Amino acid sequence: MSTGTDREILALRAAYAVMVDRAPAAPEFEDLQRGLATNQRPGRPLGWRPVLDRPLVRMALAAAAIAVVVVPILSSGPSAVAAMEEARGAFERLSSFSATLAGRQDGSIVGAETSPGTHVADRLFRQDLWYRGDEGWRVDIIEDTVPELSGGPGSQAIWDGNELNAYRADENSYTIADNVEGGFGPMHLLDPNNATWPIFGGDVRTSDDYFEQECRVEPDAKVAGRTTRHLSCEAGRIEIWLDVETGLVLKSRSELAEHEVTRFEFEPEFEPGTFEFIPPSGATEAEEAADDPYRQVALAPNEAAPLWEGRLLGGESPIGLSGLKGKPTLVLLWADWCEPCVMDALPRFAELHTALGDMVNLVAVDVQGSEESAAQIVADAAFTFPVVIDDGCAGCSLPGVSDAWSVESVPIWVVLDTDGVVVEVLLPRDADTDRLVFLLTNQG
Amino acid sequence: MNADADIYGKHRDDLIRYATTLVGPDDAPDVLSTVVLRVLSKGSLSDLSEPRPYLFRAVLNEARSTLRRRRPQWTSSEEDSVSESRPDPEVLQAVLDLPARQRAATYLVYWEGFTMEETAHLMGTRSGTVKRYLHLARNRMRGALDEHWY
Repeated sequence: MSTGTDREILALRAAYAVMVDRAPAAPEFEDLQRGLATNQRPGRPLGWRPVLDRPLVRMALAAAAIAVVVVPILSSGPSAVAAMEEARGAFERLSSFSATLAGRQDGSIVGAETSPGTHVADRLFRQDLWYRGDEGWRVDIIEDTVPELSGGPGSQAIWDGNELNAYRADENSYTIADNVEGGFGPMHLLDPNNATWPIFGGDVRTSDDYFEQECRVEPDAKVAGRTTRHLSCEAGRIEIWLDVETGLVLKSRSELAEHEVTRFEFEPEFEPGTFEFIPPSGATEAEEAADDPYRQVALAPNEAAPLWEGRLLGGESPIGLSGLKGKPTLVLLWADWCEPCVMDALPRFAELHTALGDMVNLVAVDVQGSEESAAQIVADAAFTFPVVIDDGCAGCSLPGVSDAWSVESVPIWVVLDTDGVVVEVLLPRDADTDRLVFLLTNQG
Repeated sequence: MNADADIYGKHRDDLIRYATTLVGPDDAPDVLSTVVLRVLSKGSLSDLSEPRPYLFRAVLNEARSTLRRRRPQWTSSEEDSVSESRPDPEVLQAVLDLPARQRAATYLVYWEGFTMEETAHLMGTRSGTVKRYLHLARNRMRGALDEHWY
């Protein structure tokens, strides 16, 4: 007689036996080489280009997460595009460095991904960085005028190749995570694939088209003693300096943000223990709050979700959760200033909207955002699902979403059943499209 | 380049099976091609210090990116009769409904027979995390089996 666990394992094995049996032949190496020569995948007539998405190097200083977007590269183009491509290519080969960087940021850019409503003015910060690829990296906070974002001076984050240790000096506590997902790392301002967006105020203007049309290459300049390519965009409103040898963004400047590497050492000898985290005396291990979806919203599984009201984008009349009963409901909590929301969550939400149509209610709530920005995003992408603006409305008698559900971070996916009872709250990490469809279509 | 062909030849059958369990037979060759071409466009497979875990991790990442665009493509077939172990379509569907990382962990441990440590190495994570994926996957399978059998 088999135990329950045996039964599940047997079922899994049986399923894999079928799948493995159906596996096609692997492509021939010669075909792959031919594909490389013609820049096409075997059997794919359409133009295809490799996307240089270096394993993303990110870390989680718990309160200040900025996710990363990888920009595809054109194989040729005008000089600013070529300079970006050159930088990204050099960045791919980057092995190690140590650096000190200083910066200033305004608005809801820094740390905003996990803390809607954290709007900072003139945040000044300085950090020491050590980087040895996926094997290890470290950020020490030397100075931060908005310490709630990083933990303030003395805080640090160390990735030792296996674990990420994030220490907050202001709370004398640290968290340990086994991955680097969902946070910002030493590359958050330096990676030429994504680092330019903070200076753009969260707008997605890092496409090749943008660089081709808006930017030109100035004469090379020195930053921290290093030779850099200097790009000037939008008639000098935005400037970027790219290290020729490593591709790193050593300096950037716009009205919204700026940073500059003041000390840079390429391929240094690291002191032993550089990437080893030793908890300071008296420090306590904090629970990884950011890892628990039910700490990001005041919702509990199998309990009725508190009701809220908002107004539909472009309208004034109230729309509320109470009107969404009778079908399973998917609520996406997003924000117009949150790049992962706009780049990843909304397009997938649109796919679900198309696929599931009338079977479920789908509502995307722009949490504490600006109606103007939301309207722009929706118009640009021609989204057709309902978008709720969470800034109160004249006829509303109930609180808005962010108050009713105490939303701590975005994007968050919430699945409700036909009675408005919480089925599951999902962080981006767990919100596979598969999983969402399963939860929405396998209720009761 | 011969070294690259040797490395690829050594692992390609394992990798195409792995990719098939993740994205289905139609997309598996694309996933594998993309991964290998990405390495070849920058250098060579022999530059990788550990090609096997690198390729397994890259296949999983690429598969997850494919799955973000669409669900695993799988059509049932009469040829699916593999001796006495043929599962019900519902069971197969339940496995396909597992998130990619849970599918990867269960495939590597329960089908390929790797240890937790080996699987963790191939997935680029820790063995504790692999255990968690197995636990979550078994729970979901239990739910699916209970639903369909009683």
